[in-house]
Amino acid sequence: MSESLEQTLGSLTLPGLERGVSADDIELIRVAADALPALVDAALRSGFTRFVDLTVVDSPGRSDRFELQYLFHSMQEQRWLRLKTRTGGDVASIVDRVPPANWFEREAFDMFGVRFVGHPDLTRILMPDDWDGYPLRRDVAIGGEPVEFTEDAR
Amino acid sequence: MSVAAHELPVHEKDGAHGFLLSKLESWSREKSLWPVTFGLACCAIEMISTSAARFDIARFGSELFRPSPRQADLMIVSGRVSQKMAPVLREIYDQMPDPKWVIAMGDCASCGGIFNNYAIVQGVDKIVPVDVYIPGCPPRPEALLDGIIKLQERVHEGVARK
Repeated sequence: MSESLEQTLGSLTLPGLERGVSADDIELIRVAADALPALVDAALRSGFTRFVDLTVVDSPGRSDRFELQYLFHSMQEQRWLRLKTRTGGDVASIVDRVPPANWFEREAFDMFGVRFVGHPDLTRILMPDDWDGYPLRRDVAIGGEPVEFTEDAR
Repeated sequence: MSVAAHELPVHEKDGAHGFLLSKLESWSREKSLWPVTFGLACCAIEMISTSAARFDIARFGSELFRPSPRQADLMIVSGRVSQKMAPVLREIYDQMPDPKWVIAMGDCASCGGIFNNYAIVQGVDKIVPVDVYIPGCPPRPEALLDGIIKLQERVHEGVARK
């Protein structure tokens, strides 16, 4: 049995560490971007070995505009853990620690332009390779074609 | 006497033989429109239903969904076409032998549908020429059968895409 999350975190000093509970009732740890790999290591040592999801929230106007959310699950404890960090564009890749994160990081790069330093193959995964821009950024237009609706259109 | 294949007279409508041949030709094309196996989204589920026993597309001669575009003469674009899928779709269309027809099945294939955004081609007619548009989201199998019958009428009249 691995050590508990509390024990693991107690033996570390991570910059910007903040603990809480997310809006959907999942245990939540915030940390500075530099300390993310160490925190992921700690989560893996504590039994949160199942990487579930990586999502990004964009807040244009901030210098650290991207909030990255990593969702982990512990199958030993049946317990969820969400790790959050903020970055202005660059963040360390966790693919060397968590291989399934590979395509998730490529998707985050494709949609938001977050650069994962140390990723083995950081290329677009959904959009065409020659696509210009990052479509899910909030300050990018949604695209498509203008449609003219009138009140009496049938 | 031997003649090269391209010299064979088939399409003249003035002679009785040519007339009958062209009738026979369009009749055989009309009654055996073989679609290429090409499902893109939820409309594909309705297309599969159309080919299954309840709706039975075989009643209209189109039951033979060909995995190879070389053996197909009908492309049913069943679903939204993403920007990344567009060149693939065009390549499959180009691989189909002439004469060939395209049905844009559903709102997404016809005009982009609800997906008016960066990722989806706003109507498949931007990539390939479309003969029949079928509205619906998704269209019921009856609507697809109706579209195929409409297309058969066009083929019967000899409207061939090049």
